Amino acid sequence: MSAADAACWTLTRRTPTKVVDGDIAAKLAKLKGVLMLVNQWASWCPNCKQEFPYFQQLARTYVRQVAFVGLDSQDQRDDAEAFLRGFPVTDPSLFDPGADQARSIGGGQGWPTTFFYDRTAARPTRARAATRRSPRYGQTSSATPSGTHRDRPAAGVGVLAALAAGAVSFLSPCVLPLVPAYLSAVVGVAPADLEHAGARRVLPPSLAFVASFSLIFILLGLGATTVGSALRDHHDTLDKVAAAVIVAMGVYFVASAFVARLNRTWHVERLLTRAGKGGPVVAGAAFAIAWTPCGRTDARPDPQRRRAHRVRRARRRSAGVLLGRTGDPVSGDRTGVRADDVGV
Amino acid sequence: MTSAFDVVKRHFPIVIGVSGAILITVGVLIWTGELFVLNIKAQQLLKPPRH
Repeated sequence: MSAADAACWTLTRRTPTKVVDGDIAAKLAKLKGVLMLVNQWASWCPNCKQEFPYFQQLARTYVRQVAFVGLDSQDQRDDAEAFLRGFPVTDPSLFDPGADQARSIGGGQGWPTTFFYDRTAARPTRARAATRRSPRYGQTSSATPSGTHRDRPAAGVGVLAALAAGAVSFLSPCVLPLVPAYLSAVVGVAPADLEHAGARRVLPPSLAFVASFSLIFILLGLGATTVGSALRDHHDTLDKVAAAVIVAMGVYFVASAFVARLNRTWHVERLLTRAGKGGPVVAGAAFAIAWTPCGRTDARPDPQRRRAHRVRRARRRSAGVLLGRTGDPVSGDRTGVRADDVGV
Repeated sequence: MTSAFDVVKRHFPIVIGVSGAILITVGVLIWTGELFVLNIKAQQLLKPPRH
């Protein structure tokens, strides 16, 4: 039995559908001299589901050469074991409910994250799904509470540039024609009468709308990371609820084609009038709540250039360690494996 | 444009029915998780080929 096999057997005791308790740092210390791949995953992470067959393929390709170990982080044990029953793998997974172990080895930021250890097991090379190509599904993105660099295309944009982009967006032909309608709804004046309405009638409700919108939008933006974390914990349940609501709406649509009573509309008759009498605050808050999911979900500052550099470096190293430099780790031959051999 | 709307109005029950069927399909895909996979496959199809 090779050292890699021994490592896996020690961890799993042949119970790969269960997550096992153990200390990843202690295992790493014991496994010096063994090439090792640690996959940080979680049952709520969609990309992890895509990766599992990929790692199975690699595990078969590098059997007795590389030890594959899962690290089930920030997860519930029942959910994780249900996940493993749905995605059976032969590799062991350590249970890390608080993601403390993942953080101890430099992870815990995005799911999935993969660490490649050489024989010293001292300093891993890390790669996220967002930086690697899957043989089945191509480029995938990483699920993370804060989002990866790739998930935040506006990250690193200056304030002035963002302001200018916002102004251009506002003045674009797609948006500008909507402004009178919005303004009308906010101030309670019919669009045809806007031209004759004085500034004293239009300005206060408009400012109230802007203030309410800004306050709620900023507060929700700041709390989005916390809210996102809470939502992520119930990701599967929320998916199911959303799907059920959508199906129910679809059934209603289909039924309304046959049942005349269902095919009707409901009007709030005095909406415009009420909107002008204190509605702007509520309307602003409603707009802010509705638009918050469209914005970024992380308000933390981030040194983007250094991070991007680290991601590029990790990609180069992971590709090298996993595909090119691995070769035959037993004999030390580093020329025997090409990227195409494992379909990456 | 007006004639196009007229066509929609004439066949309104069909339009509503088809829309409902699409909604049901999307809901089932979300429930089963297949929408995620299809999304990735669609992105892969639209991606320019690697050289």
